[in-house]
Amino acid sequence: MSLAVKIGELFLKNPVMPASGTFGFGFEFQDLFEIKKLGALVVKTITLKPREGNLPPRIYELPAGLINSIGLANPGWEYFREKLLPELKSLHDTLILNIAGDTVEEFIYLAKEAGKYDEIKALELNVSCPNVKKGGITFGTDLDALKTIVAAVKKVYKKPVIVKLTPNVTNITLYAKAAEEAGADALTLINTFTGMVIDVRRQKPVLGNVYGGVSGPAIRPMAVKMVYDCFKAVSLPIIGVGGIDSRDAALEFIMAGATAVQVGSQNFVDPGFMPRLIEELEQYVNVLKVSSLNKLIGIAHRRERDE
Amino acid sequence: MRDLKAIVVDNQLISEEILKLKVYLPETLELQPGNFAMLKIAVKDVFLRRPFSFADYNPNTGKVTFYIKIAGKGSKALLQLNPGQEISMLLPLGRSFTLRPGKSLLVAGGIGIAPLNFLARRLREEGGDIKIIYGIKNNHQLINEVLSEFPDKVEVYNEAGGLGIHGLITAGLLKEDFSDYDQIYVCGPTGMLKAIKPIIEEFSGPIEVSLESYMACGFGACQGCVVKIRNNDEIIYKKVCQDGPVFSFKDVVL
Repeated sequence: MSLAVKIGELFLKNPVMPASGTFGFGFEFQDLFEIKKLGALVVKTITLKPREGNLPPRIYELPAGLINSIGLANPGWEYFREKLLPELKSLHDTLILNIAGDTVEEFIYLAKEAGKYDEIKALELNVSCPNVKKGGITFGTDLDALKTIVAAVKKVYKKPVIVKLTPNVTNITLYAKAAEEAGADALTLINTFTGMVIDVRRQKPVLGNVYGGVSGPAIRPMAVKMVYDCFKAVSLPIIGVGGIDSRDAALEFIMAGATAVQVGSQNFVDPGFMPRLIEELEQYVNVLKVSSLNKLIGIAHRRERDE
Repeated sequence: MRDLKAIVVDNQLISEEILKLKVYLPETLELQPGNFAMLKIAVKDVFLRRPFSFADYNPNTGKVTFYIKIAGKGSKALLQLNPGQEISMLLPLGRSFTLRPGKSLLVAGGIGIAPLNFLARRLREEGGDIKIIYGIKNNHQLINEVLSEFPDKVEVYNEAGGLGIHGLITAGLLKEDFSDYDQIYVCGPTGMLKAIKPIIEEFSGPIEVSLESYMACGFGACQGCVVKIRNNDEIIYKKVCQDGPVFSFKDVVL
């Protein structure tokens, strides 16, 4: 009985990995568990130049999740390559680098650079950040821009290219298809929903950036639906993400059609959650006596077909 | 950093709006004044953990004290904890105060007394001399046991009048001759920090301040809790949870 899955050419010993931006570069979590237990390590978005991020407050709690407007704060590619990458090597064998660019050229540059490092096993393209003025979500909500970026990156990067899509569109399957046509190897579904909170006492927006991205269990039903819809629309492997805080929440995504899952906000609340999730998934496949977790991918669609 | 299940030993209001929560830690840890914990509050609608500084720790008994201001739904839910119950906490977190010899002035505003109470105890253990200037809005904020713990060392300024000297904490600071002190430690709301800044800025020795911020994780992963810090000629963001919560007062952009 196995939890092993494949995302394109990428072999994962189990389907659990962190969502970019909720796990730092992994170092902070080492005190609590061995990072190697994860299926893969996805690091915080790296951009070409360092980014200070948005004006605080950047975080606010919601009834079943949180809203953030971090703004892709990161030390930039050069620092990452020199200082962090050598250390990350010992943390995990399967490193997925999440990148974002203000322009197509920046995506191409970062992809070419990443291609020079064997320890980077795949790219995740962030075309869905709601908290930056340029790039980010503006690429992910424009079909032509999305295709251009994915095709351009595929041309210069030979390993798997995963495209992380935004839910802030009318019909996400169109974007999933566009990414597939442009050559993407897999999809990560989904990034945060745009939102805002007003401080009633002070009569102004809470977040320094006014708008932010909503995450956590609050968005899970929408995320599961998007995975379910895209599973029907495309034949690419899907990494499901959105409010996973339990074994069953992860299974919902897998049964909707996800090959792997990412854990986001839950890492903040319960930083030891992911290794427990892996153990619980192991127990689950053992008890069910399914030979592999793969058998459960998209199984919820069977019911629809039966009727 | 550890994620431990602490056991509630005692939990009671010690003023109209301040809760004293005492827990037992199943492991002996290095907890320093200025360090904090992220407490998991297992009730509906409270998603994130809550950061609280240590108000005291005795490594021999394993008991940690928190002073918690009842402010929102998280702290209100903590009122319901009973002795014997478990509460999960991530700890220790953050950068602590630097313990220095000589005479220290501690400036506390409201619940800012919490980490300074722990610091005062440690400074005293190390043989240092202390004075605490403790500003409160009204009687509801006063933690009496701080006064009894450090007799003759605490001066209370009460904005609304009542217990202590009627007036603002700034009035107390203006009376001080800073040359009596080797260092100053500060913790209080942003409004107080802004008000005392012009007064204590003339002090040439080290001034450390413990800041607070909204936090999601508390250990450096989310980058949500940043504050503006002066770094040479530029202003950069630093994480309250990991680079702080204790910073050099002169570097903080208020």
